Amino acid sequence: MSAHATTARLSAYLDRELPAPEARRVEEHLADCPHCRSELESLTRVVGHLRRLERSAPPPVLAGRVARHVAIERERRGHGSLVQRLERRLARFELDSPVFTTFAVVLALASILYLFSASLQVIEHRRIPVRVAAPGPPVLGPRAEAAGLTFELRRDVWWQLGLSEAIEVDETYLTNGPGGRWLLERHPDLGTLLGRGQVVVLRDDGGRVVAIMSVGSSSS
Amino acid sequence: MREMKAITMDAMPVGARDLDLVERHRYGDETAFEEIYDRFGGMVYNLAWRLSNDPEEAADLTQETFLRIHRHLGKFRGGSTLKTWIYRIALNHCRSRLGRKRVWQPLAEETERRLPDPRRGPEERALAHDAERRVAAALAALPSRYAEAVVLCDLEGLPYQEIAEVLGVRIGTVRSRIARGRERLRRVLEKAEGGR
Repeated sequence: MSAHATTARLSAYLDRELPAPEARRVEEHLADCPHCRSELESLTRVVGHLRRLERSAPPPVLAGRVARHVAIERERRGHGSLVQRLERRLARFELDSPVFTTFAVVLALASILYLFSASLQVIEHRRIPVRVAAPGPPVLGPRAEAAGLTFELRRDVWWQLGLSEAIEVDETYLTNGPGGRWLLERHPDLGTLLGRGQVVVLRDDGGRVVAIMSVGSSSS
Repeated sequence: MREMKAITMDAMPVGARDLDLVERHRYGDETAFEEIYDRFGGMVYNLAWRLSNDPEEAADLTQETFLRIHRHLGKFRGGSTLKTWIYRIALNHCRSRLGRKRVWQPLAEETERRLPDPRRGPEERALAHDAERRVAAALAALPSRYAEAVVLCDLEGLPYQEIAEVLGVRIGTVRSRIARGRERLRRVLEKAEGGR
């Protein structure tokens, strides 16, 4: 390197982003070039100024603002467009028309009858006995062992012994998500608990409280 | 006191955690989005602050960015990390809101008015505060392509490869933008310090 090093090269050297052979050539050049050494020092000062710029946490009220706007948007996307479509369609009818009133009453009655018959089918299905699960880890009354830990069943949730139901969960994994699948590959016996109780709550070795939630039917 | 046994999860890949958050969001778990804000709210806010040099503007930009994240989170497929994906959304929004029609201005006159009188006694904290304001103003006044690269490198601490993924450019371009950004800042700061 007989000419001076470019600013881009010195800048990348400063960031340790040059491949090793190129970095060595820059170092050899710097040893013999006061101009480039001065340039590098100058760049170092600029980077020093930048890295001393303060980092700030967002204002505490911002979390609430974001949550409120997200909730409004969720509401609008969930119901607003449907309401607008219905309003436009209803506007085509004369609302005091007897024909419309009769139609609305008939439609309401038909909806109620349909929902009632659908709920009867759900109740019928629930009467079908659930298949007995394959034998799993030993169940000690309302307790079970899995992943080397002891769990206690409380209201359909398997709690690691020692964890209170009042504790805040730090992280949740779904059994069909990548994190849930990763966990179940390493601790398959947790999957047997999830087949029975739907949710398992435990503490990891980082101190975080983790919940694993079964998604979908237990027969899947 | 008996120590509680625990399960080891440190080896879980970051990508798996990211995708889990997204899956939970798709299933309607509202706490998933709260976790995303907790993890990335500070990152987005500081990015917006340094590009705008205005804390109130940064708060608005952060709020709007997270609305966009909420709208599009279901489309995240893990092609990048969630962090990179969020950086891209934040930068795109900052670019469109801040309006990149600025002309490069070295702020020379304004800086000269703020220089402390050397005849006064040392006031190190005031000097440091002044220096920070000059640097912050100069950074926000850079052309956006340079400001973004410098912020991601020197303030966010990302390696060049990750900056390239966020900006959607080659590493050589990242190197060049960072260097040119620093060079422009150096000229501004040296002029403000008396033309060293």
